[in-house]
Amino acid sequence: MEEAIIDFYGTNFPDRVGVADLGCSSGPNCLLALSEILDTIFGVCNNMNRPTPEIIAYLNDLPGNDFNSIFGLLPAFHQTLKEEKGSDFGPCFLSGMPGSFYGRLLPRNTLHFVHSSSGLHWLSQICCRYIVLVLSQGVIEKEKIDSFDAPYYAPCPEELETQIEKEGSFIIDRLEAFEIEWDGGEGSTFAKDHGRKCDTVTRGQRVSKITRAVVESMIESHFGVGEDVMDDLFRRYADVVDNHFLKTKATYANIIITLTKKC
Amino acid sequence: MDVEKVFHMKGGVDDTSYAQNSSLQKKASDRVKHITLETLQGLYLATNPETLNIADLGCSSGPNTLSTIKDLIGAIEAITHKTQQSEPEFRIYLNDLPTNDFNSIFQALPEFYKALKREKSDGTPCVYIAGFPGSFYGRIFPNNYLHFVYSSYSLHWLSKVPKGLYDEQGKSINRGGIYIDEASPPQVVEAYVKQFQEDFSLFLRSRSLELVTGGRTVLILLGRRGPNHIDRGNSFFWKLLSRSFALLISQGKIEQEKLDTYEVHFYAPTKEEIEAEVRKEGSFELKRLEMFEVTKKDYEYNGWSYGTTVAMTVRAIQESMISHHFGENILDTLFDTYAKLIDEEMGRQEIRPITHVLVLKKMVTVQSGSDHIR
Repeated sequence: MEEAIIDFYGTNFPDRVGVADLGCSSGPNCLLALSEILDTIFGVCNNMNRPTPEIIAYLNDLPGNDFNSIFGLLPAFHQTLKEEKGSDFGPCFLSGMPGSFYGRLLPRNTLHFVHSSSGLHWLSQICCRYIVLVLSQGVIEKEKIDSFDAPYYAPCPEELETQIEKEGSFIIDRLEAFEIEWDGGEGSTFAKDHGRKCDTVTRGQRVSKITRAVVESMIESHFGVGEDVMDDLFRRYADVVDNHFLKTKATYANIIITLTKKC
Repeated sequence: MDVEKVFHMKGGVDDTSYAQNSSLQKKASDRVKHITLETLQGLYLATNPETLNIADLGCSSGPNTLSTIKDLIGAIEAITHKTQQSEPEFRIYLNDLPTNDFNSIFQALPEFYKALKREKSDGTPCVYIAGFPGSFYGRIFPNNYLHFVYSSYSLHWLSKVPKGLYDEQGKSINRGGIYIDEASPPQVVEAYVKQFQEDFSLFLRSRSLELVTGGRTVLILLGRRGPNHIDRGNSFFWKLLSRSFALLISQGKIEQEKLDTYEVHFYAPTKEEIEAEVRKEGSFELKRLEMFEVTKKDYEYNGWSYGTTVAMTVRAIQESMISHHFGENILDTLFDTYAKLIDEEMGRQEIRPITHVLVLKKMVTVQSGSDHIR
């Protein structure tokens, strides 16, 4: 991401920069990508001894996303920006942009950088297999299980390349795949961040929590199950995943791609 | 109490929410809808922009903001339909404090877009809606970003409770009142006036930078008729709330000390006070400044008395501040008492609060640079 920003901003110096994070979600990480973008712009401008541009940031997710919690973080975010970068940085205007990114979100020629980071594809993949397994052990109707399809697709790099070339507006600067363990790895700070000692939270429980946060609404909507059933489902799911970790290393593939819009 | 961190209209859609208790505000904005729409249409005809950037400052949650947006889009469509031009792209920016319940507005958007599509025979209008959280006392938008600024029933809320109201011990000098009343010493009045002047002039300076030249604003806010702060208008409603608190104190439900440290961050300006700030700031031409009343005769029976309707309206607005200061337990009793007092007083003599509607046209940006957002 840094490379993409340095690359663009090193040769163009617009007075006003539009930045979007598509699928920003909510929670403490939702402003992470934006922070990094702003840090990079600040760094580049400092190095070149240039004033920073006016920045308008659009944080996008579906209308049902918890935007209130994102907006609640903004006063502190602005304060931190001011303290770390001084009052001459920016100014930086932040907004929430509800809507599906499958379709137009913003007017023409609004954006200079678009960031989108989604783990949904991999989560749905392991979820579909193991959730269905756990559900079929319970009292859910077979018909409901058979008709459950998560709305995801996990493309390979070649498929992405083909679609990008077909659409024709973008040049691919970088296209790489890398692996991450399902729970972020043994060294992950997940347990520490949640105030628990590592050894009291199993890896399966970590995966279960991460998965639940993303797919619960889909499962609730399709199966109409209550909280007790949901708790039981993800408890058993955690056990299944822990068993899986005993047999094999479990990783998923991420793809990172940077594109430049052609003139 | 940090107003920006605490103050918000009651979110959600339950019986005490702002969504369910903002019909009086809707009545007010409907009363002057013709002014709002004519102003927008005038702007469009004069500037003919390809994209029309509209901000609603203090949009709150509830149905009123999207209803206004729909009317604004309809007003432009009425012109383009007649002239056979293609419509502009509408960029709608909804602003309120970060504590506002934006989720409930955003969740209503899919249905809102569907309704816009249904009502148009020749293609959906191109509408982009975003939320820009932050205090409008300061910058929210980049320079020259907006064509039209609308704000209804928000500008009588100050950025903070005036500092000058408290002595060194943090006790209010307003002798048990929560706003300006007969017992208020002159320093209380001065503190409120000064805070309004600072806030409103900062509001105007910020909008001056954010509006394009020729841009328009329509501002609707509560006010008072004459120089006297004590009248049977908006200040009287606060007086009755004060009396409601006093009754609860006499019943042992609240401590006196709690009331002694509570003041509202509200101010009802006169026409002259508004004009003075506009003139002083210098960027705007004052196109229109009118007063009107929204009173009991405008109230449509909804199963509740007028007093209860007003009390529930005030509750939806003030609950965040009152529960933060006094706790939640007293809310039901407080507002039951308040509703009864209003009905009693209305039985004696009508209470007639006034509202101002103000139309400004941006002529020139007087200052250079920008007041950074806070």
